[in-house]
Amino acid sequence: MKNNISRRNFLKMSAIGGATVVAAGCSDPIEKLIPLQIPPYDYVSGVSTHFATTCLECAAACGLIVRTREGRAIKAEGNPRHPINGGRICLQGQSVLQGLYSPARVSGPMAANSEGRRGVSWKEAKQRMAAKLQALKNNAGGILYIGSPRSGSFPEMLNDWIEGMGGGASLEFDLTPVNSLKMANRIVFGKEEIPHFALDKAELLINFGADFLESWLNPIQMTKSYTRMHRYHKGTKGRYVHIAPHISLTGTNADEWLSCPVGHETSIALALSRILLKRAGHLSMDEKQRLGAFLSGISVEKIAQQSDLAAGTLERLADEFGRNGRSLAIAGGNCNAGSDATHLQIAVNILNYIAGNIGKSVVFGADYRLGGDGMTEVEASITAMKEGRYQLVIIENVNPVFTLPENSGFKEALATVPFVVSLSTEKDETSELADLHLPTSHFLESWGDAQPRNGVFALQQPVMARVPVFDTMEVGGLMLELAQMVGLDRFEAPNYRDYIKASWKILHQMLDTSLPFAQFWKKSLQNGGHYESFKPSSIALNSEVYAVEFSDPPRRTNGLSLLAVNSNLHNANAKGGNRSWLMEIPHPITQVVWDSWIELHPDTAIRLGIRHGDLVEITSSYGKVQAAAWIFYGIDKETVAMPAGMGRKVPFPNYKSSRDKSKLLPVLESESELIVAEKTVGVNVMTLLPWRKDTLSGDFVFAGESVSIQPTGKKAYLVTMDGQFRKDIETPDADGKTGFGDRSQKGRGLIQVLSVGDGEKLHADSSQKHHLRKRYYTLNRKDKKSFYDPVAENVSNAVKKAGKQVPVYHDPYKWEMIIDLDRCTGCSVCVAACYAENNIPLVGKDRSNLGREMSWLRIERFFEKNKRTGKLETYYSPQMCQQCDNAGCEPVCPVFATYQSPEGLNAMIYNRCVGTRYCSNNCVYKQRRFNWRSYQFPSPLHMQLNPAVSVRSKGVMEKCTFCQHRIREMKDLAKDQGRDVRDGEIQTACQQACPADAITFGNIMDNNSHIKRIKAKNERKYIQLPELNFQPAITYLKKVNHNNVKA
Amino acid sequence: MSQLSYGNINDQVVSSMEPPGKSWMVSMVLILGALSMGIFAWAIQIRHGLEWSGINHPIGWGVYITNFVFWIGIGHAGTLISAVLYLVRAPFRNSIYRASEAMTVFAVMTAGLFPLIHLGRVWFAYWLLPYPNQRELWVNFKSPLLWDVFAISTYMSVSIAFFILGLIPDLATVRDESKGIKRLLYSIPALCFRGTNHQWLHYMRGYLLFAAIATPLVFSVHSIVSWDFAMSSLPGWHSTIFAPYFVAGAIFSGCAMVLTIMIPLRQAFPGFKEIIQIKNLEGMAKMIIFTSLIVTYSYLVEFFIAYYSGAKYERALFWFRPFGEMSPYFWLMVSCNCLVPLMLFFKKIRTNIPALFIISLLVNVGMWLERFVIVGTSLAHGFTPFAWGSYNFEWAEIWITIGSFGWFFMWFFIFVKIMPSIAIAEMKEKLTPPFRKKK
Repeated sequence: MKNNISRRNFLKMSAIGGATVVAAGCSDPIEKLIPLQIPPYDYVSGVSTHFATTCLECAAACGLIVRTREGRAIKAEGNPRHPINGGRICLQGQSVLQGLYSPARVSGPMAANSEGRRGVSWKEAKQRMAAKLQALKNNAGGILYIGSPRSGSFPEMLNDWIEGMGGGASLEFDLTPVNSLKMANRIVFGKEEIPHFALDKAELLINFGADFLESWLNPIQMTKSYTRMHRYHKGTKGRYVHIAPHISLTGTNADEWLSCPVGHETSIALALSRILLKRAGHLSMDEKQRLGAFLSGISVEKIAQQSDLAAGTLERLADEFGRNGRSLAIAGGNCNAGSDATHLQIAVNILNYIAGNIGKSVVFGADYRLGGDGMTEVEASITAMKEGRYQLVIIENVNPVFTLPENSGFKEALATVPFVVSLSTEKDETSELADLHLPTSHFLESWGDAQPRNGVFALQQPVMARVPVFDTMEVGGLMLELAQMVGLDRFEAPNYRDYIKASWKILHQMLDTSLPFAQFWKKSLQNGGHYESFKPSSIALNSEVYAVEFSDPPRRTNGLSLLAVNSNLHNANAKGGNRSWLMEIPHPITQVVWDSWIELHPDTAIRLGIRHGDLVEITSSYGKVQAAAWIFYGIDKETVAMPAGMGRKVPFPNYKSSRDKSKLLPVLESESELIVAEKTVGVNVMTLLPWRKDTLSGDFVFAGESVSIQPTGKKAYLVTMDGQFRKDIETPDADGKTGFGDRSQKGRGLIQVLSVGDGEKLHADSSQKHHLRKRYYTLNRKDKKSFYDPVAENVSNAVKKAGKQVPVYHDPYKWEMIIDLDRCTGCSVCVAACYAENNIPLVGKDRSNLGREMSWLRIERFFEKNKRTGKLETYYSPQMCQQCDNAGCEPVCPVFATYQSPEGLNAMIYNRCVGTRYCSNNCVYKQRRFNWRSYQFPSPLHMQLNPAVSVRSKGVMEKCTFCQHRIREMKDLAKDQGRDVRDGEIQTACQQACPADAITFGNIMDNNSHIKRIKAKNERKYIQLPELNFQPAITYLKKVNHNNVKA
Repeated sequence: MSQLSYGNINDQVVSSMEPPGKSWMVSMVLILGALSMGIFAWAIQIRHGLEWSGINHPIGWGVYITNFVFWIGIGHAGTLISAVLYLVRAPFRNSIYRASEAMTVFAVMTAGLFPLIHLGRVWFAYWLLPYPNQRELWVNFKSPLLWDVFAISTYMSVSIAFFILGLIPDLATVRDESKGIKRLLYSIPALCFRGTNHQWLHYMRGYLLFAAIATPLVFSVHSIVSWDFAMSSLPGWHSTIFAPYFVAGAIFSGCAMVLTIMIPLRQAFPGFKEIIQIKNLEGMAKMIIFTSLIVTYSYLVEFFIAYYSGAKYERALFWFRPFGEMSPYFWLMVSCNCLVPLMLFFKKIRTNIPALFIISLLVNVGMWLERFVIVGTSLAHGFTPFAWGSYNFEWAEIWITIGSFGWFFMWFFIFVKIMPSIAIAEMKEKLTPPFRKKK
């Protein structure tokens, strides 16, 4: 997917590349951007090359397009041709480059001996490994291979390999709780698979706690289809009801949140089924009778009472839910991963079945390959290790020592194994215990394939040569070579690429395609794989279901139960938990950075005498940890929530801090001390969790462990990004005396809200009326034009008169953006994309605390009190530089370092900036960022830097540029082809990343552009702070609620 | 002025210029120590960026701009006393105007450093000047910061020239009183002034004209400094009251600084006690009451306008100032600037030297805080609640602030030893000429 490029364009691009070097500034060393002495013949400096590959961050295997420049991967984006993720990837996917260039990666093989660990050569390492394997060959079943769940041809190869090596077992290690879903489908429908949930086919979605916008199944696919269902379109939109003890990011997007105690979801689902059964017309009489008998023990009133639901709620929901297949109920995720998770899934299946959703919004036949082996298998392996069954344990890119709770005994069991080999890319808690660590290449440097669902055959190809500082081997290649050394059959392929190609040859024969293999292979490589739709399979109720017995929901005990939720930034396997981007990007709801927290209900906090931000100690029977209390209305009173996957060591430059030091004594930082140090960020929630699994499916139990919380009397060092040190947050306001405070937008109309049906009525906020007034000077001009139009006209006339070749403003381009707040879910993928695209430095916890974060794009989160219901509602708004036409920053800069570009952008010239910071002061949207120091991009993370964007040095102001370099790239291309830029050709990084398609970008001067059409027609458009007349280029579209309420 | 005669005025003033004693030396060591703290901190700051000052996002200006406005404000009293009070013939100015004019020059020299110190890239500070260059880069005359550059440099050059002009007759006196190389050195700046009628005629006319030129500058400089804030769009800054408010504040703080300096000076040189009389100090005290009331009025008007305008941003800010997390600064400011000076209404307090000295110090603190409140709280509480912030002081800005006092007092201590710190000629004017018989 190489861009067409001419000689002329190439020269321009190189010039941009060169300019970025110059921009570095004062005294910092300038590095050469182009590392190649003798470049490969098809390499063009300054031109980006795109490779399609597959993401292996989790089992979902989304399609990736990785942009490379000068032979280095610089940005990962979704593959638009991929049918599952359709051009978007999640937060963790955006951060794969931080995995590729992780400072925590191991530079070469390491071997442990009595003195400690030492580096060995690959030759020696392989020989040791081969010798071990040779010895084991006759010792039946001595090998245990623990890896992440994989689809495609790898599992088969692994099986053959283990078989050949004398046998053993392989374990797909993944904590993500989806086995309960598969198991329930086996019990209810006789199919052990993850079906396709067509959220977009539903008008009402009832979700029992699945965090499908964050981590459940494939969150990107879910977000995309959720948006299609929940967007405001032709006067209507779908409705989403969230029923769970914890609201989560996903729940904050709901139209209604029903808080229920942990473990009560099952009975609610059954109650709904029972009500609906009476009018389920599509069921046969016999089935109806059997189901009626099955559900006869359910008392709707009792369940409503037990679950603290208002009378009539269940009936109302059931009424809404019965829509002949245009509704959907889902459940899952950490929030529901209790010890009877499968029962909930069964109940939800019955509900969907009775509502007639099966085959309509729940489609079987897709068979998504998600999740790994159940904990039962893990436990069996641990026991077998302890029993000494395994002589060799190979652990590849999973980290069970950290991820599993201590009382699982994994660590002890591993210690009894005679020889442990880690194939981990990064150094982690597990690889540290290995006798031999053979670092494998990152998946972006390796070949492979995957089959995320039926009909999708994804290819994975290396997007760059191995990162120069790391001497690694790809997993497949290593396996092949070891097999050859040991002398196994069927492993003759000279390298793993050929192996994959051979297995694709077989695939090619099986598929119904007219292309010859060579073309098929090439096309698949270009497209990232071969894509077909799946065949829906018909489903009938399995009689096994009538044998299922449901237990009563747990009674309220006044105790607290713990939910180890996914924090949406990374998954429960702690993968990604050591990436500085994901630590620095604030968690959308809590806005916490670089830390764990404990979410508590205000009433619980009052009862325990805890205030917001206190350091509290949380104790379970398995351990105790200390973390900050985050008082939050979005959780059940008897539940506390903590993010899972935290507590990893994050490599980060050890910038000095004056925190807790006397402000009268100097803090000095010398260059030599500035090394990358590993800092533990947050606490590992697994310390508190037991080694417990769901009885039916073997899913790990994340929810329901009873805990107690004591205040320590200390304030926690908790850094949140919603305005540090704010007294109005700390003082009691919105909800009594807990110090949750007022986190609203103070009636400033930054986020405006409509309700379905009453288009013109605003969200019961009279103070916003002011915004609707037309500007004085607009009204009072005869032509009703803006005051500024004639001024611009005068300028262009004067320019013409002077005969100068000065650019005429806004011809042919003026770039504008539209952000649809109704679509935005607050997921923060755009923030990660912006960090990756624009070389934004990371500042760490101490500096975030001082208000020195550098993010160009932030998701502002407000808790608004609904005037009618009195409940708090959560709103998100992505905020970046508004590229004002009448900007505050421009006139105050004494040196013209920021100015209005002819295309309507606030250009920022780093080279010219002297750093007065007046522009930032005068920016009413507060979108400018100042470089308080020169930040480090610790090696090898610096290789990720985008050469098209300058790296800013100390003393310089910076801000969002609307991805100016992307505009430049496409304008140059258009110019070479003698045309104007086409609509949609330019995508900003945030727009490209947004799974909800909330961001539209384009040329407002083009009458046919998408953005122009929206701006002309959409009634929901508004700009923020219009009375200040900054004339921002970003138009927001109002959020639309049902009946003026949301969760 | 019974005890004073032409001779003993000469003797007493010139005696202050004797080679420095032990106490001067000790003070100078302390002063240079403070100065080197500042230089060290600035050097670190240039090397590492503005890391170790409390400035942040959203508070892009902090202690440095506060210091800048503070020192510029102090720099107002000198020219006000020497030029404005000269034009209105206020009698209490004679004994104190020289020292306060010196104070002005040094304060402006100090203030001028802060815009440089607060720059992110001070090594490019010359880009703020409109100099011709081959890249055709120009400065933005729309920016109030550029107006600052011109306002301050104009004010500085005029006050230095005015200062030197006033010194001419006195330097001639010192020249006449000294011998050898010293006499030669003083004869150069004395510009052959011999005290002839002809010379006095031109001198007095020149002085008058200069006073007339300097007077508008007293008002313009601080107005322009105030526009750094008032021209922005921020609630708490964007206000038409700022120019007069700042000028009054500047005179207020300047007069207090004059007292802070004159009282120890009077103590250090016993001969000055007869020249700098209580009633002169009392005159300054009255100026302080007057300007304090203007400042208090401005505070009240700001609150009233915030209420009366109905603008929610403005209202939120003026609620934030007294009751937000930065409220201690506000209340300290109100007590120092509005309440403490009220004590000066009592004659007993205003003629009590220690009381006067303490009050002047408190007013200085209050006026520093006023600038900090204006700069800090307005930025902390802007339009978007999500970006609200607060301020914590860091070591470098504290050290640099200490250093700025070192810098200021270093010049002042040198001045006291090499120049007559009281206007000899003007003091003599007030005396009854000795050859006339007393009536």
